[in-house]
Amino acid sequence: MSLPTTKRVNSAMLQNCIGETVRFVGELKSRQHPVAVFLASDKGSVTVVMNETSQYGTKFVEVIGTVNPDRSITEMISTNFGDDFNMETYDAMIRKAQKFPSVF
Amino acid sequence: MSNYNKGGYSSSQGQGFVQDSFGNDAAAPKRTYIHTLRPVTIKQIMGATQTQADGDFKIDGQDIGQVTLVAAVRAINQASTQNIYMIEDGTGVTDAKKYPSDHDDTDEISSIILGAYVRIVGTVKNFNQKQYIQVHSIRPIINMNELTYHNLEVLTVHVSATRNKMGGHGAPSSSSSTYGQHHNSMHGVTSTDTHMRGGNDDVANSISDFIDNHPGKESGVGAHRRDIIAAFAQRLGGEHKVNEMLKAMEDDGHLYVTEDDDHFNTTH
Repeated sequence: MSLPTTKRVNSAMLQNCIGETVRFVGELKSRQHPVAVFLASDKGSVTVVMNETSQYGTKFVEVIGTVNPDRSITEMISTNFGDDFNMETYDAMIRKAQKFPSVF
Repeated sequence: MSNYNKGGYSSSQGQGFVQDSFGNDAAAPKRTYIHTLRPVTIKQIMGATQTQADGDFKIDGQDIGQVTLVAAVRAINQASTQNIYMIEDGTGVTDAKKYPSDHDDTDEISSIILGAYVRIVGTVKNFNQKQYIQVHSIRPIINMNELTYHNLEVLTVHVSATRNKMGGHGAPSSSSSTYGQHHNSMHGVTSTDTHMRGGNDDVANSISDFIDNHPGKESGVGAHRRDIIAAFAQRLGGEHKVNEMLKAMEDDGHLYVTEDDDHFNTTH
């Protein structure tokens, strides 16, 4: 499988990524098929349209998917990120990374 | 480029170059072993430059030895001689090739499955015009904070590498004739990086320029504090701010006091 390049985003960045494939890490808050609601690293709420193969096993999950016009994400693939993940540092990192497009 | 001692080891400052001498060096080119480990993204690897075919790679103008990265495994190909992992980290895709070794932790290797994030240390190689990584070590990431850590480390090293290349204010100058050029290029660079350093570099440079252009520079006495205050108080927001700045520049080694505590000269 060949993935396109994906930017790491929080809830505020979704607005500028409509139609793009992004990487989103969130804290799983609720799940009701076919959608799940996550808390983003900037404390915003993000809806993810789940995949048939979605296996959210831990508190934090990384979802790679495309951003819909309503700023929800349609999942392509997800990865468990564990129960111990620092969202504040992660948020600071993705915001800094945005300023260096030559590297990220 | 410093001269290396023949018949012995020497290192150049800051880069950790160690050069082996292979005796008679009349015809054979010296092989330089670069013992640095650089955190990178796949994008940086794919964009690495090579001055000559089969030569060393450079990222941000710096020769790279080994690289370390964090990426997700998207395909595994267990070929006869080596395992090939197709990895991606959001910035690009590449192959990481690993020869089996007696030192391998087989449990660890078998826990590297599709979708797993891994930490890789290896060397950048080229095949058919495309970069790949020859893996020295590969292990699964247990705590995902390591991903955040890695990205932050990549940024830190990148900023440090690109800032020094521009001849930043704290970097050693090679000669006084090029100092003027370093100064000018610094002004062009700081605008992109001021969010990291709070924009102080522009003012520090201006103060250094002021002293360099001051009549007192030639005699070595430098500029008097009151002249510097008169020139910069408004821009910095007060006499005390100028004094703070002068103290900071003196602490950092950019300025020194001459005949008394009120005369400042630049160190280079």
